[in-house]
Order: sequence, then structure tokens, then C-alpha cells
Amino acid sequence: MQQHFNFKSLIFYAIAISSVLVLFKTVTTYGEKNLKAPPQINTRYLLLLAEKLPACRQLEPLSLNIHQSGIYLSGFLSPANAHTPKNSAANEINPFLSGKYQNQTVNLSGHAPVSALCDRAPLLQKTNSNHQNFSTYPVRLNMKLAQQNHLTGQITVSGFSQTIAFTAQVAPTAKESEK
Amino acid sequence: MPTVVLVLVEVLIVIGLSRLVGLAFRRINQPLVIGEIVAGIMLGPSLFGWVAPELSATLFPAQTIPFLNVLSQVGLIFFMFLIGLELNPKYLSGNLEVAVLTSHVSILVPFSLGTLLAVLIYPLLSDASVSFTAFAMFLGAAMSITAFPVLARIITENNLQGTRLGTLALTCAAVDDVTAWCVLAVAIAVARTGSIASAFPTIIASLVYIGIMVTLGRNFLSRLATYYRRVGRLSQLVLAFIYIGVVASALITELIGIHLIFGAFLLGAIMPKNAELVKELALKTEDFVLTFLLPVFFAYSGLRTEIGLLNSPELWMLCALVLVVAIAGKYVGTYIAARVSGIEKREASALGWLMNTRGLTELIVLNIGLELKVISPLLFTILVIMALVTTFMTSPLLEWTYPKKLIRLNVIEPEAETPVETVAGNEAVSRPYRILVPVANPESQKGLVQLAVAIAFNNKQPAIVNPLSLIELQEDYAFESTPVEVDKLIQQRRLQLEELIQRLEPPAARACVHPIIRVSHNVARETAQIAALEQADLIIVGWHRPAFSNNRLGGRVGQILATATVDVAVFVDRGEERLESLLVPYSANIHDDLALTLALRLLVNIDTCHLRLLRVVSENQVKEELSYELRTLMEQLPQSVRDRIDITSVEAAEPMQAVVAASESTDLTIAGASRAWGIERQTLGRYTDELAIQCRSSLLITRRYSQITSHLASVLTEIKSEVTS
Repeated sequence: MQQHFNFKSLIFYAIAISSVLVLFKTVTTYGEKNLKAPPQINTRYLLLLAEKLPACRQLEPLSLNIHQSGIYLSGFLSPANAHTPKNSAANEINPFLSGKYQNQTVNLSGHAPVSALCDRAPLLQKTNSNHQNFSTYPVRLNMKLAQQNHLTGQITVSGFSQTIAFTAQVAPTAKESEK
Repeated sequence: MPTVVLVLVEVLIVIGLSRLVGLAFRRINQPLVIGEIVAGIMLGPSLFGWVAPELSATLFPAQTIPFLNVLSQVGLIFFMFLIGLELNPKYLSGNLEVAVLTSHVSILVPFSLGTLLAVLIYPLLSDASVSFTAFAMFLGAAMSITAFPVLARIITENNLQGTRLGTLALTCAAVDDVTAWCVLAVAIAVARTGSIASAFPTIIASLVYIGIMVTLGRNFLSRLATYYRRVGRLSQLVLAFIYIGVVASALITELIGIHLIFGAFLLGAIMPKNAELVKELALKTEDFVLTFLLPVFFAYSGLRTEIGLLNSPELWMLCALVLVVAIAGKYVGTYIAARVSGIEKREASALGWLMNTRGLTELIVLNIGLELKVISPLLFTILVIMALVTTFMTSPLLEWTYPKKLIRLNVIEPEAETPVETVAGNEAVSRPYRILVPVANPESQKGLVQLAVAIAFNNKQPAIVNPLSLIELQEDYAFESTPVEVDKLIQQRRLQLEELIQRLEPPAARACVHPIIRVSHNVARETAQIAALEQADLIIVGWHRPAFSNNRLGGRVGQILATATVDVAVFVDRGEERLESLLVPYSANIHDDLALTLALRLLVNIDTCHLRLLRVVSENQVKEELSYELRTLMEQLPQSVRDRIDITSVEAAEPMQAVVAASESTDLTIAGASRAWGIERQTLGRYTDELAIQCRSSLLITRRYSQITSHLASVLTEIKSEVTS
């Protein structure tokens, strides 16, 4: 019984463990070579719009925060100037935008808060009244990340037919994002 | 609000909610920790933040998170220390070969599946800052975890720790746990350094450290154990040294490059086991850690769990895929390994479900992964869901594949059952007469068991008396509820019951007394269940003064009366050891019938017994006849028994007083639970206990449940066949 335990079982374990190790090695070599994960998308971008948004009076830069989980992204827009440390937590909890990273392009769609789209100017009420929530606007945006120093993109606000181009810069994060 | 105040408010909310939700989960028979984990998730963006984002942001703002992190890390360190303390080499002693095989396979299979799954998931859920190797290793480790602490408690609660399945599961889980921690350590080293090759120095350093601790450390600590034995208690100075050791060890492993928790775990693991030192240490440490610090860890983890991120069907499909792979890996792997080792299907299946428990340990691993950014928030959430679902599944599935009925058969319990089960029709004859006696306090309840023996034991029919001792565990997650400690408790009880049995008369009866000792958290319900399972004919329970009322038939006794589906008798012992003169007050009532039947049984069993049958009639009442059944029964009695029965009628306005008067000169009064004798079932199911208070002799109150059970017929047929043969 002792002998049986020593011999047969040991051989079995040796084979089992080494085959798993071999599997692991093979898979990781394959993975390292062939599998490409999306690049780490920096968390905060400063968007400089080419022209002002239709609903606004002035040209204001926007801040885009992106949270990444692989190719699945979520984010929110906010006015670049406003310091909103208090609301930032709320926004992080309810990101208004979601989308994917594909072909070196970030595609996001969702809602943006009114405060982001315009500065302190009041919202023009002539927009669609089928918005349930008057404090957000449906937006879509995409951003090409092909060239690190020349990031371009487009933003569309629902209800307005214009698509506005913008250039983006990586902005320093005001605080370390949550761990 | 200043940050400190805010943090304390958060801790308040966390502890309160954890307890609440934990208790709710206990109600549905799930482990307490799962409730606490869910409470933590509820406080995060998944529920609280989604329903009330503004309030959530006010109560849990970003600046308090680092403080919660510190508290949770401290809690985690000491929790891992406690887990190390609990890990007893005793678990590894039984079933070694089968266990080693099963546990190896139950790690290798999920690990491989996890690695393959990583190939699919990496391009979707990870980013380029993490190397594939680290990712795959981490995912493999996450898939192969079995939560030993949660499993140990599930086993104790289901009274599995004495069974083959239980010991096997514990051994496998212990081996699994240790192996998974090792794989995790390597995974962390790889994640921090980027590749296996560069992780080598870290791995070597860890092995060296483990070696030092296991040799020199243990040496030192065993001296500590002897010091403790001499002094007799754990002073705060020694405790301080031990805590310094825990934190220092944690720091060392963090510096080496693997995580803080390993150092703490290692120190707990090398503590000398089976010493009172360990028990006292655990008792001193666990209350604060488990009630205060650990919930903070769960809340911290919950704040990072964002179920809202799973916002598309494809993500939920991914979640389902991860879940399926996790379950398949563990269950199928374990099942096949167990079957190959020769374990039967049902047990192998139960083992598979038990090993699937991932619970708390998985959460710890995932949080480390998230911290090191090896896994992204979305993958973290998916894996947390996986951990919760797999643990949630365990208890119900265990009950389904391996119901309590079958577990009994695996316990080593000498049964005096006559093996005549094949004869279907004569079951009543071949089945032994069984009395279940719940014994709360073996010291003072000898009379109870003695009475049970007197009623059960005769030379004509096989009989079994089962003294039942149910252990109610006080705390759900403490050191005391680990299998090893519970076993000690059970042994203690067994010894007490054995001593009691040895004092029973007559000596020949001792062989048919078989104690049952179980863990339970609902004594009345368990008693009723066991009575039904064991097909007991009668439950005899002793009275005791319940906590909140004076009614001797209230409290636990009342609960048993309410839930049991067999005949029940309540014994009010006045200390008389003699059983020679019996009194049965009779009115034609089913409970009185039972009283009379038991009295007759006693008469048959004990030759020196006399019975006085007292019929009390009030002035205007017609004399009540004995019921038809009973008359025929009496006619069946042999002459020697009938000679010892004395039937008298007494006229009295208050029947109960007549009984009380008559009880002066008897050893035992057996009365049915009927109104005439002042024992009446009231609207809420409680019984009045006037007679119990006033009766001068020991009193046995009988309540009939079943119309079918006959306590006497089988004995009489035996007598008849003796007479005629």
C-alpha cells in the first residue's frame, strides 16, 4: 500500500502537474505573442472643440474622463474649468457614457450633463421635449487614438444635426483615481 | 465634515448593515459571511450609489476611501492570521491518499480551464499594461480557490464533520487552500515583475522565508506554548508580542514582493496547534476582527464592485461563461477524481459541490488582483458575482444531492435494528420500539432517561432509547465552530451521556441506549425532524423553567409539542427513583388513552408495578366508560397484569383536585393533556400546567399525535404468542 502510494501515484501526479505546466507555458507563449489587449487609455482628456456647441453661447473646452475595463469603456463629460471634486464621485458612480474601444478608436454614447455642454448659460428650451431628464443630453462621440500627439474626434449632440470635431490632449489627473 | 468623523459614520453604517444582512442570510440557511459580503456590495455603486448617488457620494466620498483601505487591510491581516490558526494538520490525517488525489485534480482542472479562459478574456477585458502571463496565472488561481473557512462552517452546521464525506471535503479543501495561496503568491510576484523569469528572485526569497518560519519560527513558538502552559493564561504582554509578530511577518512578505496577507497567514499556520494557547488567542482576537474590521473590508471591496458596469447582454453572457467555467472546473474535476478513487456517485457529487465554494477567500484574492491592476473593475465585478453565486449554491445543492437522511447512515452508530426490513407487512413487529429523549443536561436528567428505559425495555420486543443531545453553536463564524473544536464538544457530551448510561438500571437495558449528538441551530425543529427520520414512537422530554414565562409547558418544551409529529410525553421529575405505584386519571380522551397505554406498558415491563386507574366523575355526569379500543386492549392483557390494575371511580366537583389528592401515595402519575386535569391546550398552542405545579408525585404528561402508533400492541402479540406456544 505504501509502495503503491509511492509509485503509481507519484507518477500520476508528476504527469498531471507537468502536463498542466506545459499547457500553461504553451498558452502563455501563444498569448504573449498573438493576443493583444487594448492599450491603456489614459483616464482624462481635455477636448478642444473646433466650434461651439449649438446649444451654447461660447466655445468651452470639455473634460472627458474615461474608465477602462479592457475594451469596455465608460466615461463622463464635464466642463473643463469647473472644479467638481464633490460631484466627481457621483459622476464616477453613474458614468453617463459607455462604449467600446475598437480599431484604435474610442466610441462612446450616452448622456452628458447640461453643465458640460454649456457654461453657465441657461439651457435653450427649444430642444426636444421628449427628454425625460432635462439635465442631460444624449451625445455620441468618438476619438481616434492612432497618433498619440494628434488625437482627433467628433462629438454629436442629439437633436442637433451638426457633428463637431475636436482635438484632444491628455490632461493630468487632478487626483489619483481610486485604487 | 472632518474626514475622521465621516470615516466613523461609514464604519457605523457598515457594521450595522453587515449584521442585518448577515442575519437575513442565516435565515435562508446561507453562511453569515455571504450576507456580509452582499451588504458591502449594497453600499457601493451597485445598489446604494445607483439608487441615491448624491447621498452615496456624501456618505462615501473619495477622500475617505484610503482610510477605509487601511482599516480593511489591518482587518484582512488579522483575519488571515486567524485562518492560519484554524488550519490544523489534523485535517490532513484522514483519507490521505484519496484526498490528495482529489484535491490535486480539483486545482489542476480549474487552473487549466482558467488559463484557457484567459485566452478568450484577455483581449476583451484586460489592457496592455498587464502581461498575459500574469493575467492567465491570476485567472487560473481565481478559478481554483476553495474557501476553507466557509466550507468548514457549512460542514459543521450540517453535522458532516464525523462522516467520511466531511473529513474528505475538509482535507481536500485544506490542501486546496494552501496550494492556491502558493499559486497566488507566484501570480503576485509575476504580476509585479512582469514575467516568470523575473519573478524568480521573489519566489526564492519567499521559499527561504517560509523555510525559516517553519523551522526556527516554530521552535520559538513551541517554547511560547510551554510558557503558556506554565503560566496558565495569555497575558497582554504575550499577546502584544504575538501581534507584533503578525504585523512584522506581514511586512516582511510585502517587502519580499508577495502580499501582506501571506506573512500573517504563515504566522498563524506555524502556531503550535492543539494547545489551549491557540484557542485563547483565537477567542481574544476574533470578536473585534470579525465584527468590526472584516465588514470594513467587505464594504471596501463592495465600493469597488460596480454591477452597473454589466450593461449589455454580451457582458452578461461573459459573466455566465466565467461562472460556467468556474463551476465546471471545480465540480467536474472533483467528481471525476473522486469517482476514480472509488467513491460512490452521490458522495462524489456532494464533494464536488462542496469544493465549489469560493466565498471569502476568493474575494481576498480578487481584491489583491484589482489592487495590482491585474484585473480590471469589470472583470473584478464578474468574478465577485461568480464567487457569490458559487458559494450561494453550495448549501441547497448539498442538501439536494446528499440529504440528511443519507448522512446518518454514514455515521458510525451501532444500531440494534433487526434486519427484517424485507418483510413489508410486518413492519410494526420487526421495527424496534424507539423512544427519543432530548437531554439538555446529562447531570440532572438521569431520571428522565431512566423512565424512558423503563417504558421501552422489556424482554419481549426490541427497543431503543436515543438520548438526544443537541449542541447549539453560539457564534456563527468563531473558532469554536471549526470542525476540530466542535468535535471536542461532541466528545465531551458523549462522555457525559456514557456516564449517565452506566448508571441506568437494569444493566441489561444499557445496551439499547444509543446517544445521538448533533450540532443544530434550532433545537425544537431538529428534534422533531430526528424523531420523524428515526421513526421514533415517542418523545419523552423533561420539563424546565423557560426563560420568559413560568409555564412549564412553554419555551422549548412547548415548541417540541407544537412541531413534533409523534406522540410526546413531558416528564416532571420529583426525584423519586421508585416506579412501583402508578396513577392514571382517566376520561375518554385520546391523550388519556396514551397515558393509559404507557402505564400498561410499564406494567408489562416491570412485574412489581401497580396501577391505579382513577375515573373522576362529577355529580351530574354519567359514568364514562373506557373507550372501545381500550376495553379490548384490557381484555387482551394477561391475567398477571390485570391483577395489578385497580380501577376506581371518584366523584368530585373538581377532577384535578381529586387527582392531586390521589397522587400523594403514588410514585408516578401519568396524565393525558386534557382539560379535565388542568392541562389544556390554549389558543396559541400553549398548555396550562396547573397539574404540574400541584401534583405530589412525579408526573408524566402525555399528548397524543398519531392515531396509528401503538405502544402496546406489539408487546401484547408477543405475550400472546408466548402464552400460546
